[in-house]
Amino acid sequence: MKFLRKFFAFFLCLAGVILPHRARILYSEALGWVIQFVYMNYIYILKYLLASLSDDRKKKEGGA
Amino acid sequence: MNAINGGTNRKCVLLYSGGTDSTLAACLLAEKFDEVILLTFSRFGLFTPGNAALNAGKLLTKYGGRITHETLPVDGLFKKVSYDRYFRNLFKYGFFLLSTCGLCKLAMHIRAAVYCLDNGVKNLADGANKGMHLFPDQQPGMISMLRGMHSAMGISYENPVFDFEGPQDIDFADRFHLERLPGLAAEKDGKFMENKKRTTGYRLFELGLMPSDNIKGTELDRKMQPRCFQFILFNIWLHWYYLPFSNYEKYVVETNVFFGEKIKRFSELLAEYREKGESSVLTEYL
Repeated sequence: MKFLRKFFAFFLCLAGVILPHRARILYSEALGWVIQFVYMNYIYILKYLLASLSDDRKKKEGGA
Repeated sequence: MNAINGGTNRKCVLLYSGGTDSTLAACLLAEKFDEVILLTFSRFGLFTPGNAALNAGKLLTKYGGRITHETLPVDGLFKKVSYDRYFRNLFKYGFFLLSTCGLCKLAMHIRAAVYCLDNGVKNLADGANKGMHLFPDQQPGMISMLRGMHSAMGISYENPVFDFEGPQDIDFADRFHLERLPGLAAEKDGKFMENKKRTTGYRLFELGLMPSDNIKGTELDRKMQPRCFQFILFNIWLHWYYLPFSNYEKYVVETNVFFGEKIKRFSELLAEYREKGESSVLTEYL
């Protein structure tokens, strides 16, 4: 896995390092938004799963 | 760290982002100095620098006219610091050139030094904290080199909140209320709660400047300081490319070599600015 990550990181960083000043800033910003999007999705899915598990447990306790 | 240059010069300039570290630094400096000048920096890619005014306003209310707040652009300097002797540095240091946060902070330090020289201020401080040890500008090695750069200009540089604990990250444990799980509750109550009282956020809460003792990751946290995503590229390089095949110690050594050369180069330009003023090379980038 870490080799795969390094492989992807190499190309992402290579693109960053050859870009001029403003283009690099915009590129970093775009990367930031993509990562934020993935991260927020992860958070909301995990929140939903935890809430569902919690509701399910409450229902079971109420029914018992 | 070093004793602050008091006595003859009762003013201090503070690199101010509006976050908890620099806000507490401002409070500590306000106890020592007659006047604290908060400098916030703006540039392309650093969004909403005006957010820093939120906590600056609270400081102004608390300490009255002894606090002043200014915003200075560092576009030209940041570009110069990042791209100076670029191809030579690219072959020599490779992806270290993506250390955007350290390079940005260096540009801010140079601009702050110029401000101090222009206004006869002999004291400079920032909110560097040991908890942020992956960022070059918050590592003892670079801090020491920055101190040398400022010292050569007759400026005393301090880090009043360096030894405070870093804030507990609430992104996961608190957002998901994982503390309700039996195993994690014990860990949270023990180790984390012990450190919590030594954070800058907790001290600000005690001083009545924050609504809670840990605002990290909250809406308020996002609204009180500028937003910047350029650390993402640096993080990808560091966490995916560099650290898994190396170690932290080597990273610190190589960071010091890279920034050591940058700081040496810009110390020379600062010395020239002090000597020649408006006709110096540095003026072009201010």
